[in-house]
Amino acid sequence: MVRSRTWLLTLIVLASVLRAGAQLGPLADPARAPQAQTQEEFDQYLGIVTDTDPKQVIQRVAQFVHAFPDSRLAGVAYQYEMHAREQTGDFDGMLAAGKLALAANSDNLNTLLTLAPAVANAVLERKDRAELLAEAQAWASSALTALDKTKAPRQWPLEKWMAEKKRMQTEAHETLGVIALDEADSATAVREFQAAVDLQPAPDGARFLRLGLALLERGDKAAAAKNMQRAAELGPEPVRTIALNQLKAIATSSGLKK
Amino acid sequence: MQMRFASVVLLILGLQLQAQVVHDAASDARVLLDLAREHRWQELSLRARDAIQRDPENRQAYFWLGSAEMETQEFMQAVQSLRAAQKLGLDDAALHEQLGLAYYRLNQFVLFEREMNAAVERAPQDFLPHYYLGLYQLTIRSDLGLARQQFDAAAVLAPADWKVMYQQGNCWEKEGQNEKAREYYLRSAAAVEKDNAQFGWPFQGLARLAVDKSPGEALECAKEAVQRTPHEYSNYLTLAHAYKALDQTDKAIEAAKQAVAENSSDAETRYFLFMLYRKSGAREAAAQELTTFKELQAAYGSQ
Repeated sequence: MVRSRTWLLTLIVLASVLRAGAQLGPLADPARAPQAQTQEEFDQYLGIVTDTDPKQVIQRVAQFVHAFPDSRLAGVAYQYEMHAREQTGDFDGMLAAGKLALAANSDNLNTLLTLAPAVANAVLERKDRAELLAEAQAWASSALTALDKTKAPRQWPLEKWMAEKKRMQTEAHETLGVIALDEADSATAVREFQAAVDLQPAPDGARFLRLGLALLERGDKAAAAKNMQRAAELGPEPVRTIALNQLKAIATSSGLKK
Repeated sequence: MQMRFASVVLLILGLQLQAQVVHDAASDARVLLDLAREHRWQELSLRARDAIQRDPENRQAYFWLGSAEMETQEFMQAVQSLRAAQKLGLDDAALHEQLGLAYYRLNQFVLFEREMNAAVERAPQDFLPHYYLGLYQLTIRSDLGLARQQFDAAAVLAPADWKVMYQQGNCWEKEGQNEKAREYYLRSAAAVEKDNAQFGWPFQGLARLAVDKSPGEALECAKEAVQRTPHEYSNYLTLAHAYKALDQTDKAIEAAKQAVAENSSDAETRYFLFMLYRKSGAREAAAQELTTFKELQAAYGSQ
């Protein structure tokens, strides 16, 4: 039962994953920016950053770390490889590159918030599922901690920073909710999904749907129906369809009990 | 015979082609320089690309492309274009200076310093690399001693440059040497007035120094700063301080609000506005500003 619901969530969460913190990170902060030591090193790094072909990016990162094994830019290079692997559908490669990026900078929000939801959504059939989910949980929690410590880039207006921060916090809470639901911990799932809803000024339908599913799992049909209703109103269509089906199921089961 | 004729034709064609390339390169260089002088960056970028397409070894075209990309804030592309020019053999001070600035904008300070030092070596009479190195020491490294060394070196080469004089004063002010700071600000302000330049900083500096002892003078200087650099929020903040010192709270509030309009993320301005509102008895507005100030501090830190 839990697994099938998580499967539903999987579709929706993957559809809404955003590239969190793309403009944050050490390179944006003059005080923390890792420094290239030679022009050739920075040339190759720029080659990675400006290439739009994921296969080329993967190749460039391999060449870069081979040529400059001690480069302080390696962590960011691995972050680009992680995204490139994700684009090519190479889950294990994405995971490996992401872990290398985190080894260089454990607070890398971009990497934490790429790995955590991707893993939470993609490991259902794997043998190492439990370990990976534990890692995803740790990454999402680390992202929340790092977000508390991260200061806004000076060049960003406060409104932009607050919106971006909340978006990243939402992403982390949603991931923690998905993991909790997978572990049949519906109380935690409700808390995390509720936090995700509360953080957004105008939450989309998918967020209410996830909260509704968690509430249903906890047995709170009235609250679940209320959130399903909001999800159905807000859509988009796949969310609306699932929400309406769930509402029907709730009505039927309530009718049966009566 | 036929072979010889063919060879001669080919030779003539080759010479014509070579002459055409030389002519094109000279013409390109002139056009690109003119576009740069006129600050027509998009056109400069297009013409430089065109020149590169016709002659992939045109290092000057790469230089101008990189310069245009700097102006359009495409710093990564600028580094790539300038590096292409460098790899094709361009090795003058302008290239190193521009490349150094591009590295600076990408927070690559090791490479920035190296390029600026290369620019100094190639054009020891040019004050700008020293000026940029000074700004780096001041703003990134917070090393006032090294910053002043660079600004002093720049001043030797460009004794009438108001930017350099202002920064020399700024270093003295940050070290608490207000009399020396004032001396440099006055010289910078005089040079700005002489050139009728849109540079309000020395006037703001003079206003800051005068605000406690001579608020009337501070007010005049702050007004001058605002007039010369009307989109710099800190000029309005200084103006607000001057009005407050003269006990003109309403005008101070207006000036502080203008500072917020120019830069809504400055915590110091918000706190000052909170104080002004509180003084004027506008409790609600004061509470709102205090809340914003706390949010800004949490978001950006105290620095």
